[in-house]
Amino acid sequence: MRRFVLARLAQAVVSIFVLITVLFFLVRLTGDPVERMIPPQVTEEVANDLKRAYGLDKPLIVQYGVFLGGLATGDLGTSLYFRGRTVSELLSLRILPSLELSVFSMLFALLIALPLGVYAAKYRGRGSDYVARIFSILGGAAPSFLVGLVMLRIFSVQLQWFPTGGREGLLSVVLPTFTLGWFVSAGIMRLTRSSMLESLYGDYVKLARIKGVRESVVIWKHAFKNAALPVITYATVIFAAVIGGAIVTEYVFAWPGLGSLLIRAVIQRDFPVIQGAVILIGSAFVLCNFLADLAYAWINPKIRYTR
Amino acid sequence: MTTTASDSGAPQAEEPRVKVRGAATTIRFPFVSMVVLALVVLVAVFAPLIAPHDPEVGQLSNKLIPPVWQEGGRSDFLLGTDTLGRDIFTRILYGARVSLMVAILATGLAGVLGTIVGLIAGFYRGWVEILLMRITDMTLALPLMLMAIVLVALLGASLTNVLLVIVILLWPYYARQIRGEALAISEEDFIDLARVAGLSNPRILWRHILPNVMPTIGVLATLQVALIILLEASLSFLGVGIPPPTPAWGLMVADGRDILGRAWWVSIIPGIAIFGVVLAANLLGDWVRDRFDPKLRQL
Repeated sequence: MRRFVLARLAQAVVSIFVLITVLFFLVRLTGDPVERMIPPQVTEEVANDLKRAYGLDKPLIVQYGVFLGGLATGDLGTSLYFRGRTVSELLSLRILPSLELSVFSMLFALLIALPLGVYAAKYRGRGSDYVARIFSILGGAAPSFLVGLVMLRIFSVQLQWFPTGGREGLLSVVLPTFTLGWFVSAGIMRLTRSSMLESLYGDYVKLARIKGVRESVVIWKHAFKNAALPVITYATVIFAAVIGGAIVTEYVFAWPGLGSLLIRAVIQRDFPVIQGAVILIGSAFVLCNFLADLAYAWINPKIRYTR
Repeated sequence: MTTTASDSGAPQAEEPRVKVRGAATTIRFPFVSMVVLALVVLVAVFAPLIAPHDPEVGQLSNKLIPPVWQEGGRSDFLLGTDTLGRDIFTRILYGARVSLMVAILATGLAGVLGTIVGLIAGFYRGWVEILLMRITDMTLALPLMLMAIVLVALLGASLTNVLLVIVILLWPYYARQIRGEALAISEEDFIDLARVAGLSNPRILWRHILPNVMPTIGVLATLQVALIILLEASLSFLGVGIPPPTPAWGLMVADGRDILGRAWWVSIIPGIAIFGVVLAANLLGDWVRDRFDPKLRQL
């Protein structure tokens, strides 16, 4: 088990390192950040001064070394747009709102999708199954930005129950959570339903029934425990959906998280901020996958610890 | 990673082919989806003939006319107009071209690239396989949407770059799957026989292995169409996709974002178009997968 953990950890570290490196060179090779930022009428001298100020006049490999060194001490450079503000400062303000939205949505998705998936499997082919499947099919096809805008139009503009954006008070979290949560729950519900179907027809479930175990215990203790595994197996896919969905959702609801910061940085061509945001979100993603791998190995004794 | 969705041998999430209660698990042919998709293709092809107005130029005097069924609507602007007075119906028709073109080209290119990589990795083995699969795994280990946004932002927002980025990010899905199958097929007896018969490696790959992985390629491609349409629409909506004034559906949704209260139709109608096409493509993809390759249920 220890070897497994170490191997996975090494894999995670390498992934993050590759992401950082590829990103660094991509940002530099696709065009000079300063030249993209300044208006064309600026003289060469001013441009050169700017480049020197940001260390862009040095050879690429030196820049890379400086960048890595800075990264090790938590220094991600300074924003090109918000002069004088460091990237780490900008990012740190956004972490909590993003976490809040992701965690709420994830909880919402699990609370909806797990019971729905279980009931859909139990009553396969009947009314509740259809309702659950329609819920998941629609959730998987409706773009989050459309769901978000429809919610805004009905509940914020028309009924004025919720604020139209931002993050102030408990009410402001409701619509973004629903928007992102529905999108995420679609996949989880599908997974739960299909693996629940599989375990409901397993021999151990039959045996439990023959033994006279109560139906609710059979469903939740025997069948569901096994059916929950794939949800962890597909954690990577689910986390990716949360991240992608969160970027769009944050943008629609002007939620002050990392996603909306990233989009703003992209529009303003604020490359240090783009770089920092991607490193942070990407690392969080790799870390979550690492934890999911551990959880899976811990829960499922059948898994091989090597490879 | 032993525990990701991309692993070819993970049987956990396959829907069991439950025989107990008849054939209820097989999905019916998605007739409505086929009709919807056929309609979209027709509309895309014949857009210049059907469209009543110019897709990119409007008259400001016609701005924000509501759809025909609403008060103030006009019959020459069926679905209303946007802030620049452009006819939304016309733009939806032309937008179908953009969505379809991206979907078809990206699916095709990613499929060809991923299949070549997967075949080579699965057939030749050795360091080639290790190298190619490392690249594949690395790409698959990154969150799709995040990388798409960043890559398009760095390369510059244009139709070509959107296509390029989608292909870069999606080919590994084919490579992973095809490699596993090519590996299994290349150990079969008939491949040995072909070799004994003196066939060259490229010929074996082309004549004997490729035809056997074709069904998988087809299923994967069908499943990816919906994903690609959604991805392109999301990118365009966020402003890192197809640049204006091209009538891309995602872009049209973004156009109406700030006037949701006064003119809901500018955003919501193109949004419904995306939703409808993605839904139809998803349902068709499910059916194709179910019908031709139940192994791929996990996708």
